[in-house]
Amino acid sequence: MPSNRIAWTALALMTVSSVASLRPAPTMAVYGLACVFLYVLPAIVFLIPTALVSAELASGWDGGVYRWVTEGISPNMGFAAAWHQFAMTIFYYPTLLSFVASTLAYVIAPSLASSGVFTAIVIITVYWAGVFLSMRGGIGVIAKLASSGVLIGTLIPGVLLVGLGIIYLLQGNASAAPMDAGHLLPEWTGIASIVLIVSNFGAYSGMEMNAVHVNELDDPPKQFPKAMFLAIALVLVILILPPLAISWVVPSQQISLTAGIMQAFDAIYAHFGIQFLTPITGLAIVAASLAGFMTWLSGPSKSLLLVAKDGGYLPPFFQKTTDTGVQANILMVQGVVTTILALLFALVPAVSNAYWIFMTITTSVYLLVYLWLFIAAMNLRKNQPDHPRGYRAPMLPVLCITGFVASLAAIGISFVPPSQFADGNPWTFVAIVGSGVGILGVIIPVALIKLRKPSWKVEEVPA
Amino acid sequence: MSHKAIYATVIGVFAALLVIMMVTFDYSKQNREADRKADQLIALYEQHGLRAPGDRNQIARVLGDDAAVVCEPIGNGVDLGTLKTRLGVGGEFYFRPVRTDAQFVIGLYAIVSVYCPSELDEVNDFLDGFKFSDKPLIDHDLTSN
Repeated sequence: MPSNRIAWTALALMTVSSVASLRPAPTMAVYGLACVFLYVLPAIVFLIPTALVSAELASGWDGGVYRWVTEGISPNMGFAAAWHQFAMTIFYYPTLLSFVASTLAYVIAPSLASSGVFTAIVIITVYWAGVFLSMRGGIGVIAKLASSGVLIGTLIPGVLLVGLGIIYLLQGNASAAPMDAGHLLPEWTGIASIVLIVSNFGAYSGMEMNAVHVNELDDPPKQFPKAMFLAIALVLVILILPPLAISWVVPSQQISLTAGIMQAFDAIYAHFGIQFLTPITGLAIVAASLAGFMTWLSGPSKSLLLVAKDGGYLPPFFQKTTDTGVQANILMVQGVVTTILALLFALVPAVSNAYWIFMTITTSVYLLVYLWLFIAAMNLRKNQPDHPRGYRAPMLPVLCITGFVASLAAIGISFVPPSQFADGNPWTFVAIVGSGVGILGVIIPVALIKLRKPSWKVEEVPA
Repeated sequence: MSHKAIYATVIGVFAALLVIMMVTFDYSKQNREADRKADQLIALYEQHGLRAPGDRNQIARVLGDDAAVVCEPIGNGVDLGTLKTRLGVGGEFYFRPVRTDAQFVIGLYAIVSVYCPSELDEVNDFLDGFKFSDKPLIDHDLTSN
């Protein structure tokens, strides 16, 4: 296979690495058996609609979300969708890469974790190494590295975790969390339960992101839907079974969630006397995180490049690519912003302490993409019914309405203050989130559209 | 740089990291003091009707005598800040803070209470930044245990 091509299985694994990992498992394990419900309901109302609708759209149009929204709503909305995808990733990298730093410190020397400088160095080194790899290797190399990473760092440790959990139960040990029918649903505590359930609707965000690489498949109309179906199955298995296995062996609320997945693995390995696996598992989990990072690095930024080229939405400087077609200058500028954010995150406690607010805002902005995606899908089915599609989603209107309502509900619930917002006035929280979503999701893309110049639309500007 | 060179470099970096991680990981955290601290932690959980996260050997092997994997990162604030972003629900990329209860931080509080009580002020400041949907299951006066 030529180096710039992607196998459909690699695309499926890239999608998995974008959406699922073992990192959330210890936190979700606290919910015990109810974590199954917390993942299955969003799978019905969000994952399946998103995946099937994306499969239909990618089998008919190349370019991913921006192109679908451009065709189905308008070019300006296509640009907005690309921007909404891209904006989230900038804030995501510092938290993901600080997790890499803390995993390395857990194994090598826990004292390293007490140093913000160590965290900052890891974040910045890994980020720029990722940019270098993307620019030198192109999407073919990224696909191979990312798919290997998810296999080594998520699937294999996940199977091991679940296997050990089953052995633990077969040995006659009682499950740490009750597994009876009475614990299938989360305990009802009123508004907190609604926030809990609805907030998780977006858990599968990112399923559509790799559609931007659909042209790199040999037979996109047939292979993209196959990749999505495989990804759906793997994502469900990875998100549901590992937390369940942890909740059998370790009452994970009784470990420290600061050390999270590493401490959970370490505790399970200690039970079986196989702690020699802890450093290997640590490295595997780092590999999985880097796989997810590389996938996110190459997706939304490419989407932004394509929309910038198609409609001249960004100055020619941002449209420059390497000879392998990689969006060099977008990655470089994104890198500068990420570096500044990472330094603030790692070295200024007030920033890391408030970072959850940025994440709340940016996840809401990302969810806007799904509103545009479902509207576009409905419009395209109505306005271009005969456009060739390799796959047609069944009951598309039902899927779109369900997914749209779920996305809207998840955006709406982000305005309800979580436990992290201790003493403030709830309306202050509404104002903070509303302002953030307004600035990042509306004002910036509208300003970029207004500032656009006709001369920005250029044919090709090689680096 | 050819693609082969890229793969070789990536494999080389990971191989070096694997060696470093396997050599530096502390495989023998369990000692007499670690056992004593583990007993103390188990007693703290049991006193409050909670199941300990393992037996004495298991806890001693994971936390050793200083629970460095929990206590060390508290000082710089990054791990606690990250914990704030991860106390909620979601997948890998999308994760949302929610209204939760104190059970999510029992482990952190108990381990710090037993292994590094000097960090309790830091943890208390951190917990004061939350509004839990019930009262903390482990009260502050347990630090004397």
